[in-house]
Amino acid sequence: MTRREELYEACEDAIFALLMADFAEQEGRQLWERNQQLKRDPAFAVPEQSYQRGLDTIRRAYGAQRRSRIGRTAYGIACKVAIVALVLALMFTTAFAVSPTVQRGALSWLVRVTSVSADLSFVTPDEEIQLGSCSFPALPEGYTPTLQEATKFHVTLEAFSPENEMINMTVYFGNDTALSMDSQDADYIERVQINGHDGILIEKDGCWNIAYADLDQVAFVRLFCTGLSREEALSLIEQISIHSTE
Amino acid sequence: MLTYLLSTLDDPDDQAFLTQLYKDYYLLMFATAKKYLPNQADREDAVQASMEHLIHHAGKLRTMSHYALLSYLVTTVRNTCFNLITANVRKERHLAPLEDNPEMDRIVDESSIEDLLTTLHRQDVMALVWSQLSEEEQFLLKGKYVIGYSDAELAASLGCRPDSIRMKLTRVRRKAVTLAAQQED
Repeated sequence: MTRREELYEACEDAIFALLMADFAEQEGRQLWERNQQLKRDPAFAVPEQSYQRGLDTIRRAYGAQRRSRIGRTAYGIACKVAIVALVLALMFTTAFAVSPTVQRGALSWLVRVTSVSADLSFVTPDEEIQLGSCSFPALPEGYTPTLQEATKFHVTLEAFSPENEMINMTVYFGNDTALSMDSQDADYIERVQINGHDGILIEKDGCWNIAYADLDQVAFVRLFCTGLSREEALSLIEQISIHSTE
Repeated sequence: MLTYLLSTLDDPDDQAFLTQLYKDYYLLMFATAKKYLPNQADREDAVQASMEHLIHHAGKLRTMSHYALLSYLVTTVRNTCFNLITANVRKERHLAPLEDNPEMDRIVDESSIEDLLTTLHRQDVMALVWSQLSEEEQFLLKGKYVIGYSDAELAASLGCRPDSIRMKLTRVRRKAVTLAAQQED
């Protein structure tokens, strides 16, 4: 087909579109008159049932269209929500993969939510931690719990910082319990008063090892940590509390 | 969420528009169907099928002038009736297709260009030649230019291949132009 033929056909098509539009208008006028005649013609009648069927068709069609459109729209929204969730999941997965901080935070949260164990759980580190019959203070910023253990004989909370500094807080219960602390070649040993109880503080190789005996609860309370100052270490152990089990 | 879903519903005016259209012109629709279908049940089916077509094109119908809308309405019913009639009966109704003629199949006929341009001055030219066109030719022109059928839809109704529609339309247009030119003479 040549360019000239294409142009001719397009021209012919456009002209006929105009001509047929005019023709439709003319025919429409005649049809309107015909319709008026039919309305006046008592011999021409459409059964009521046939007439009603037409109205029913319109009602049914629009009802079906509505249901279909709502379904499609709801499906579209669900797809968009799913895409957003997928993107968030991918972002989270990426952050989880590259960031140790996110890994620790997510692990603490997930384990706390899903765990059914009363003996071992993870919690967010920025609030007081309840474990067994003991309460431990909020951990210093950056520390993540790695071990929480509560048995009949002891309750332990252990946490590490990103720099691998450690805090271990343990409460030992029982009349016959003996607590041994390494004081050999210690840099510093001091008797201290903690929460009104006699205790001992040992510094050795940059580690603080502090303990005291709670005679009311018949328990030893001990803190072992690295990377903290003396005051920080003392402050932590002072905040460990034992709830009465009676 | 529910509010958003409700906002996506069809324009309720479409339903009201079509309901009123049907109430005003159902007599005309049934009378048109009666021309082609002797059985009342068949007429009823044809009108229902026509309404379903109109429902799907409600948006377009609302933009049309009142008289053009009536032409569309009746053309739709007529085409639906044709589709309900068996293929054999429909073939009998239609004139035989124009014979294959390489000369006639040429798109550009220099003499017809002048005739074509002449037809522009006569708004009623199609009314003058309409009765001289066969039902198939009328169906093609109305289907293409009034209803807006695609080539595939036209082919399905005529029982031919979609790629033959273009040539059929060319022949019909040329015939109409030739008839119009004869009217001028």
